[in-house]
Amino acid sequence: MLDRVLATRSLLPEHDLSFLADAPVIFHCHHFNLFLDQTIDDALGVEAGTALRTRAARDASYHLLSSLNRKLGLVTPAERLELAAALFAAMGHGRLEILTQATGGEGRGTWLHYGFAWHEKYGQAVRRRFPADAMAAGFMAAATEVAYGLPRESMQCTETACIAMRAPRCEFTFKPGKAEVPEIDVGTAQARAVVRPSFTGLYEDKIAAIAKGLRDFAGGVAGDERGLVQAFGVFVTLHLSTYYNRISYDAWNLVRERSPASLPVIEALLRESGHVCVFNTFGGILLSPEWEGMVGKIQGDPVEIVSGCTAIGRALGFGHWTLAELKPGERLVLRTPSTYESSYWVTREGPAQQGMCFFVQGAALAFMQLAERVPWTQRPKLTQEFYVELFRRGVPWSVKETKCIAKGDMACEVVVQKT
Amino acid sequence: MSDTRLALGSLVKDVGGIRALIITVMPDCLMFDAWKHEQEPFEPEEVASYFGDLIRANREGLRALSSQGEDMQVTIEAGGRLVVLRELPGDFVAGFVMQKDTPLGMVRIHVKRILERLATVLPSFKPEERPKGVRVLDYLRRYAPDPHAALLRVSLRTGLPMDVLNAPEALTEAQANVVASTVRDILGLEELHV
Amino acid sequence: MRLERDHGCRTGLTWRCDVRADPPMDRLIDAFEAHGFTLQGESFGVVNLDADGDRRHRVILVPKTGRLQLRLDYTTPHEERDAEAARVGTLLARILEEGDALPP
Repeated sequence: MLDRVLATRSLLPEHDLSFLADAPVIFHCHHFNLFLDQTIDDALGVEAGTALRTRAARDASYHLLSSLNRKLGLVTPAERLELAAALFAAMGHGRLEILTQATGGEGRGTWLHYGFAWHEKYGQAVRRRFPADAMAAGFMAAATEVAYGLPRESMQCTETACIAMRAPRCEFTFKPGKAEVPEIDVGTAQARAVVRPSFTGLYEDKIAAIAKGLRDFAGGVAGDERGLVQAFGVFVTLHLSTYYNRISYDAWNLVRERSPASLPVIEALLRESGHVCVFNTFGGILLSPEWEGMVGKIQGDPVEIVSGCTAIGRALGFGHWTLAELKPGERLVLRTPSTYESSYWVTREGPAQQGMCFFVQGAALAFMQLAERVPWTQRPKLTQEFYVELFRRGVPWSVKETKCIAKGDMACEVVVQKT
Repeated sequence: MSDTRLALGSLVKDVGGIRALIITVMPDCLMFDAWKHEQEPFEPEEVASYFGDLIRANREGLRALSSQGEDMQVTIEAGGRLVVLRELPGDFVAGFVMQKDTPLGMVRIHVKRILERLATVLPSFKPEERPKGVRVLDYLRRYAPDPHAALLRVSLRTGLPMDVLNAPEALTEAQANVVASTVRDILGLEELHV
Repeated sequence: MRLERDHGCRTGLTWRCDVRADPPMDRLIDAFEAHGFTLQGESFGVVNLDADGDRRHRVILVPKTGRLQLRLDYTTPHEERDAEAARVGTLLARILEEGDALPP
């Protein structure tokens, strides 16, 4: 069955955007996942943050599961729920038991990515007092809606026990509620309508070749027997970009309405989620034996690091990132005709007044931090302590999104400049 | 390290196995003076804060046990080190960092001797407590899981602008209380002892 | 043979050591299999081997450069990771010796 699921994967090849069935998917690490969820809760409070994250997961998962069931011709609730649980594990999110009927029910989770990764990363330092697995909750709610043909956005779900709170497993309850008005799906057709004509940049041949190799490698990545993916020193998920975009932009919109003075703060934190992701995951990939086997041992040349990162971004499905300009030690211009952020923003929010690709902004900043501040030839360990120390010494770079497809430009362009 | 304001170098020069001696001033857990072996990579300022917190936490624990005493000593053995913390008159804490294989009997003798000498050279001023906002945000920086982003998180949660949080000594009492409550939530604590 | 912490090792899961570049792979894989490892595959320039047993530790070898990475199973409790790495490291040293893969 999973082979048939994987056969529904597609790519906008000149734009490096990936889809499973019709739903846009990307690979993201636990650093990004945890930090972004945390930022949403910081912005809205835990209760409203959890509610938004659950709704966003349900929204994005419904799109994926309903498209997939159509493509695979699954009919009975049992086979649809079985597929959902298997898919969730294959995507690296952990193991689910979905014990629901049309009238609601229960669910259980073991090794859930969010709860387990939170416990692993923060559990020794901080006591968590609220559950972490809105993604699993929303996914199971959507699976139930799809399985029983219920109205979209109607199944309510609450996580009642969580491994991040030191429970032995995660537990969920479900009950039907009033259906919300569904948002338009951001699928292949919508992304194709938003992207701009593709182009290439510096070191294109090298970047394209590495991206292809990594994409082939990533194509074979799937959850282990516990439904998790451990790779490159991080936990990896194949995730739904609609989830990330909806939580980020709904929170951004709410902050703009309620507390406009805090807008630069949430933008800085959204940017930081991209920075922490690229620094740890991209850095981890560059330092991995897989990279060493596929590309070669890292020498530490800034061009090598930045072009390598650009290739990784493409391979993970973030968009057709290109290098428009690179002056080591001085300046980087990253330009792309496609980002998963702008596809969503244009489709659901309309024209923007400013650059909205916060992930790309943080990512580009991290490119230069990796290129200029990591002693690559000394077998560095990109630990949390190293990361914090970089900030303690000050970040000698500024970042600005000078063009954005969301505001009508022909590309998204991020400039990183030495300060 | 060249010698320090309390001349700690001369105090420890004959002590076998000693790696550092750090004097913390309470209640703000600030470093007052420190000596460390030249091969030790850590920053005494950072360590001093944690030593102060440890003493405070132990005081609270002993209070809960109804076992308060004047001669509390905290001993930690881990990671190839033996750490001994002792309170000193005048709101000071002395932190001895020893090699783990130093015989405990020798450690006790050295600690006792140095404490006696320190008691004669430490100043007798009563340190002024820093404003609550400063203490709370210092505590957050020490214990937040992502300290580089901690202030942004407080700002987003409280609505207080970054420039206000960057001058914590000027926070009003109400602002400091909101910040303290937010820091407690971020760290998942029932209470914040600062 | 010295096992040291590798990148991503804040939680003590990832370790590395150096082996001979371009070691005799057939012989080395035989040695791994004789000590309870299963070859998972050779692709993208790396060789993957999983330890049998409840904890699925993984060894990733880059024959071209002689880099070996040990990834402890992430279910290994924090407080046991150093000891577990040392235990597996001792086993690896024997395997590398038998597989004629120790660095010169």
